[in-house]
Amino acid sequence: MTSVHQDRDTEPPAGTAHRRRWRPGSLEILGLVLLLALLLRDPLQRWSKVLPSGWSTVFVAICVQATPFLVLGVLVSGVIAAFVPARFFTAVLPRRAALAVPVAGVCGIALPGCECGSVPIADRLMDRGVRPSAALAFLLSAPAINPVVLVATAVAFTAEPRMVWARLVAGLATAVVVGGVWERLGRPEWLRPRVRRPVGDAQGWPAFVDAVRGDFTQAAGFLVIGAAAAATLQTVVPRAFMEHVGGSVVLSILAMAVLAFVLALCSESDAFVAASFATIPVVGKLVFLTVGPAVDVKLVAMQSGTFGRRFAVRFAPLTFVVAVVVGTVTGLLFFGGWR
Amino acid sequence: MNRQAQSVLMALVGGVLLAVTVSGRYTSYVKPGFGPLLLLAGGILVVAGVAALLLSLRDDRRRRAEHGGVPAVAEPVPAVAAAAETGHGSTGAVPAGDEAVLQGGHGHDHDRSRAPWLLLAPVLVLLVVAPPALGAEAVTRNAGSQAVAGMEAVQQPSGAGAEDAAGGTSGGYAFNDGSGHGEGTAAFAKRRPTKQFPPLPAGEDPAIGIKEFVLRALYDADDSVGDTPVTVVGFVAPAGDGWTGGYSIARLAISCCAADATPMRIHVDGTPPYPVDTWVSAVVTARAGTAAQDNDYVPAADVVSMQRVTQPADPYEH
Repeated sequence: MTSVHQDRDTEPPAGTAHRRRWRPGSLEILGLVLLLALLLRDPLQRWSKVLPSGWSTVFVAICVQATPFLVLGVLVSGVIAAFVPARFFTAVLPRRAALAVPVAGVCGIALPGCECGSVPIADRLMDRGVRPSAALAFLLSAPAINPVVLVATAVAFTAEPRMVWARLVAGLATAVVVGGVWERLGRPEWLRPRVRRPVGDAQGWPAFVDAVRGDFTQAAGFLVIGAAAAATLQTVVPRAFMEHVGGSVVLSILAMAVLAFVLALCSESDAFVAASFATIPVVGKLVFLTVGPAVDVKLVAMQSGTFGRRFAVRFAPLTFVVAVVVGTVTGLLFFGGWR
Repeated sequence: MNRQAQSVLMALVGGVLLAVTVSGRYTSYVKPGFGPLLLLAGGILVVAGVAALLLSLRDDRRRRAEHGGVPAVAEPVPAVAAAAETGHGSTGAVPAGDEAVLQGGHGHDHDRSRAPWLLLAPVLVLLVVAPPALGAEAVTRNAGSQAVAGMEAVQQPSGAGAEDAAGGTSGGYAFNDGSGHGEGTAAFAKRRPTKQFPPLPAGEDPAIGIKEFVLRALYDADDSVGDTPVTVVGFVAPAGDGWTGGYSIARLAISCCAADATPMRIHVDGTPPYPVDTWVSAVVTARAGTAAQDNDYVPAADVVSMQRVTQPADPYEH
């Protein structure tokens, strides 16, 4: 009776002749790891000193800070999976891609969260028959243009109120352009193969709970990789190198784009960081705010986990280039020069 | 990782989140305003984890009943089998119960995704290492100009950047406008940009934040912190660039989480009375004209008195 899980995990497949040796189930390994960690707490604590100072704090901070938004994301994704029929999206979204992509982009306004939450939602939308380009436009626009982010931007840039509108336009334009490019050039086989849920199977609350569990553990797992990468880069690269590139416009824009990718800040706090870069021209700050929510080291990890590596290696560079160009052009239009 | 372990892990993450929040340790990582959000998220994760565990146990029981005691071995669905073989079973897309299919059909691939295991990393770091709030090393690492955007010296050598921008399009100084306008170096020294600050809190040696002290020392037209001793709380950190000798009283300001921490420093001459990273409460007055571009606009202060204190409940300023 007590060995249900081992049995489940190690049950030889029907029709396989040879017997497999006993392997512990994941639940047993999980318990063992936790037990060992508690028993070996002191040696582990000493060993953790090899990490760069502050690494574990920044790592935990990014994870803790992202969790509420990720939970919101998987709850929305679970609702879509369990309670919203697939025909809802075909009815609501325009049939033509040229319309569906911008509409999906504008829908991003409705999700008050940061970028980690929108990954499982976009995945679920594709699952429910939304065309990938439209789901990707939503993925990119939601973290950039939702009301919480716009209010935070307005607070950070009190004396440059145009920044809010510039950010809204640049974020939406990036999402729509990337969605459009993907619609023309993207191939379905770049996306990880989808396994369609049999229609009518396990709808309602059990399906909801199951979707929340699967989405959360998967997306959070990759969030952890991204947080570790961001913490490493943060604690190894001194931030002061930014101060020396402010003189050159091109250099400062590129540096801000790379920094947005590397820092992997939550889109609700990046405006405050951008405002604090004293020597950077305003166009560079807009590029920072456009690239950050669209593509960063944490998002690439989550996207390659959710949509597959072949997707991520194409989507991330595309998004990066489009965001830099759109951010720069929007900045020039809004602020009438580099400044 | 199978469904049960995933459910347990999810509840565990929620529980740790609740524990960290209730114990108040969360302020070392995020701003206090996150508290309610973390409680909500932690609660949802615990409830969802327990519910998912119960559901999967119920499913197991049903299957055992249906198969007469033999645990779930379903027929492999071709699409699912293909996904499992290439190791590309998408979590979002794999329907409920298909893990049993994968496990049954492909014993070698029973944990169809290893990603959930990574969730153990932050849990273990929190339980074992219990990372402290960022301190003096982060101050040194993240150090940069303390001049507020719009008030700082522009480093562009070209005249177009420096002197033209000194007037600014927004009619002189605008507080933290983030626009990148700047005063020329010479202009800053000659004509310090100022703004009106509200009066200091009443009482003897009123307590203010280090960030506010720095801003007042740099930009207060009335030099409030130059005339009136105020109490600041921070930790001892090494002296910044551009200062020889002495030490800093520092505090990190965060806007969201510790990943966006920005140091705020006050320079003090003399040998530090306590080791680096010791929290102190100090009564200080700002010394006029000490903050400049070559010391990252860190103002110097004279210490009237200083004593050791315990780390505040919220180690950061905002």
